[in-house]
Amino acid sequence: MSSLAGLLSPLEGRPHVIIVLGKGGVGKTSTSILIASELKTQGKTLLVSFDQAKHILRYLNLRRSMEIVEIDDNLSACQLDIEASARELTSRYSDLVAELFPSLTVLNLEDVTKVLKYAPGVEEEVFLRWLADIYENREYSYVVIDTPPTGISLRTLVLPRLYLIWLDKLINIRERIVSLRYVISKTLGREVKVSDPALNKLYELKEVYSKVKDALSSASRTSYVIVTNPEPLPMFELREILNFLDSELMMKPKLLVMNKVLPRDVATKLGTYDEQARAIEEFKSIQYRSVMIPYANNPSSRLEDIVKLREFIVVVRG
Amino acid sequence: MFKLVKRFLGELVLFVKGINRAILEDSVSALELEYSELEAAFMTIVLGPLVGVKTVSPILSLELLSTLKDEVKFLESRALKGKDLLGDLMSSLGGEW
Repeated sequence: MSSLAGLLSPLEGRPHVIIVLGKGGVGKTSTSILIASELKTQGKTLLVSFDQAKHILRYLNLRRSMEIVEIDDNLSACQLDIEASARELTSRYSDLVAELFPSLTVLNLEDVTKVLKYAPGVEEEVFLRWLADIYENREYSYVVIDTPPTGISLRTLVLPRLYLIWLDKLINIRERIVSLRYVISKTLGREVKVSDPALNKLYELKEVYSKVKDALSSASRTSYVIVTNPEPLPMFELREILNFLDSELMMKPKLLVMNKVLPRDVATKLGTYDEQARAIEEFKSIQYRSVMIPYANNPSSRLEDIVKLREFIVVVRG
Repeated sequence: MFKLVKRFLGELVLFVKGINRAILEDSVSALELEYSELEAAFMTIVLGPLVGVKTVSPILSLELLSTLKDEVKFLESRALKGKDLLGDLMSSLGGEW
């Protein structure tokens, strides 16, 4: 029996965040559960699913989203509901918009908060905020994150960098505004306001996003696990994620997992043997720690089923 | 003669003070122009995402909005005036229109 936690070590920092990436349907949730169920023996572990498929609710028998539920002594789990979070986040601002309503009517902004949850980028923003909170939470030694499919996850991981570019530009303009306001007031003998709430808010946001950006690019705070299947599209996404981690975050994955590997006779019967063999060959050629997990005869639907998969893990590169 | 010199010097002092004041006001009005243009640019960037102009994240806009209440009200008064551009132009020319 092989230990995924062993292959992921060393896991420094508190909390150390393990981000599980991959194409939709490859088995990210099962892999996340497997990793979390091993890590709980080493320290308090939280398993968080950002995946909108919400499989974790069924696997771990959770009643509803947005609640941290204790599964056992050292393992807790939570399914996030991105739409509910977006709704909550945007409704928090509706009072403010209502207060500024007379002003904003001129710009036709009355309905902004009603439709804002559907605006491009809001989903990634919610994901990012949770991520920022997770890195700040010292209650857990390990946090395993089951991510949504590749596109949204990668956009979110690069978002802090984009935010910092925006914030730097806004800070430059705002600093000039504040300094001009100061000089004009001082020259004309008016009352001088030194502190500027907008500038303070910008500094505060810059600090938050700098911390997340640094944590995402730090091997001592974050480990990336990529899950794939022995099929062309999941393998294509594996390469895309590897390129992304290398070029955007200057990071390497800690572990690659090839899930749902069919037994030779079954693959031959289904006519997928050659395709699977090519994918496995390519997978084996990648120079990172990697494991293969065979296809389960009975699709896993409970925590116990998933934990049993550990017995069948084959280490390709240790 | 003494009175004449005193009056001349007094007027010279006032003249120099006037020039100083003019230079100061000129400089301040240049600074004020840059200030109002920068503020307009800042507000456009911040409020842009709420009116369909993609600049920064809409959530970032909303977060900053709470710190910009005064500026938004100022923007409102300018925009409200802007609704009747012709009226504003005519009133700036003076007289009853």
